[in-house]
Amino acid sequence: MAEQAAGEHFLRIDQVTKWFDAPKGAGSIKVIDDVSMTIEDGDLAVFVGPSGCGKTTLMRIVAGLDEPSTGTVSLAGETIKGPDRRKGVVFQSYSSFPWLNVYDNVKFGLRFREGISPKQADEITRHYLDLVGLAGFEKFYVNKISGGMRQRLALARTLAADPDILLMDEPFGALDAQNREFLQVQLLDIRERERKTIIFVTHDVDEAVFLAERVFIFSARPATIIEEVRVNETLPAKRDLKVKDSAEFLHLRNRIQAVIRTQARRTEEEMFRAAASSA
Amino acid sequence: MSREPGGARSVWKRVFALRGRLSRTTEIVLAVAAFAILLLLWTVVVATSSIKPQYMPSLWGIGRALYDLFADFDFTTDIYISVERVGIAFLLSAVMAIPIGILMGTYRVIGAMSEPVIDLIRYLPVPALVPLTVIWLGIGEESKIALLWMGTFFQLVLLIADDAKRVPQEYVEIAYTLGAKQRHVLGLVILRSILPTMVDSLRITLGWCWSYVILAEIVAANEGIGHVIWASRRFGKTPEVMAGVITIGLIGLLSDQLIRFAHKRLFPYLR
Repeated sequence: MAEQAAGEHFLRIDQVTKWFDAPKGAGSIKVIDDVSMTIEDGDLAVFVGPSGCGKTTLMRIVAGLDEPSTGTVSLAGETIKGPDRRKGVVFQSYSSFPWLNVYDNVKFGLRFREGISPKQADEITRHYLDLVGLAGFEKFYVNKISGGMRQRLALARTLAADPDILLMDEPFGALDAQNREFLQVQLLDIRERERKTIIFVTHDVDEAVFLAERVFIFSARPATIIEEVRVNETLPAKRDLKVKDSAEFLHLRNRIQAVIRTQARRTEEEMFRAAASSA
Repeated sequence: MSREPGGARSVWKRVFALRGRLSRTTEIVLAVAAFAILLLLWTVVVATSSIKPQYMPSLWGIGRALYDLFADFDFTTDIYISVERVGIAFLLSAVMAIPIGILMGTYRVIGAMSEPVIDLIRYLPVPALVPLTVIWLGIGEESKIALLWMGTFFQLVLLIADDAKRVPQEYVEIAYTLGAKQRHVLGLVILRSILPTMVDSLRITLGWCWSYVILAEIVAANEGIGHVIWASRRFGKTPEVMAGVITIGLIGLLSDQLIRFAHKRLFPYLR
């Protein structure tokens, strides 16, 4: 875990607004509207909202992959200026390098870490392969393993670089339902052992409530935070799949689902109006 | 043949299934059969028609001419010289096109400056450049190398730039978030990612290089396969002309197969 000045928040998103250039020079579109939040060391925060709302963009800004138009983001007191090893990212697709086998994918980032001997690199690689259950698959290329294994590989690869914060952009979105649940449980387990701060982006409310300590509900574009739900106040800290059958879980899920449904409808209507006005 | 699941379908339907598969042995048999049919047709036409040997020599005549070329006319040297010309020019093209293409495809500012110019040059027909290379560089080796280079470099550099542009942004971003710097991303991600398509582009442009070397040697050369073909024509020695043409075909086939083989070996993850 990274050091942190007393009284400082671990991750601080401060009045971030983001504009994108619209296609065909039609001005610009506001994607994020004055969002502020703080996330503490060890938190598991989930961004949930209708698709296209800007939650991924906010995550990318935290990663340093996009720049905010106004506002700042700081990690452990330091303003984020670009991508680096401290902010690890797991994408939904193209999540690992196809030209490297499983072992070399996990090892890839270690060459950029200073003071790591080849022996240590090998140990770290094997540790994370073990952690995600990919030991024995070292020699396999990415196209020869299943979708779920690919996402576990991406997770191992990112953790091996020892980031301060783990950013996951709908990492299980392309998996089938069984695999997705399996990976959700595994993620909680890995987090328990590695104690990483995680921001997890998803539009799947079920997944959001199951994983999160804190759920941030995003509005339709431009994104604002409608509500923060502290899931830990309702659900146990240690969770297994049985939690999904509990009344508390269902109640929370239905409530969040209802909010998002309203937002998604807003997006639909806006797109319809935009199409009608340009026609 | 064993009956596989779905073997109830007629053989005809299976062989002509859209994008269907064939066994390796079947493919080799078919390839050999195609050559055999071609040679057979040739023999039949020569034997039964009244076309004079000056126009269409027999296979035996061509084989004989090929043997004579090697035995009496030092054809090995001519082949060596053509291969050398292609080799130097092609290497020069590749060594320049790979880094320049990657930079063009990666840094928009470089791409924006160079793409229109290269696109223009690329469409200039190579034969039309022969007079220019002769005016600028004379009739020595330099002008031939320059011609081959012009014929391949501008094509290759654009192919490589396009490949570099198509590298998924995710790979670049993953590398950055693992601590890579720009130079690492260029070498370990972009170059590494486009390697398979690059080898394919090289294979294809190598073929063009062979067309241009013959052109260059026909225009002005005292040695080389193109020179042999053109000189033989002047003396009406059609078998020798054909022997020369076939030699080029065989060299092309050989180098193509070699690169394909290397491709399979180098990039096992594509299978």
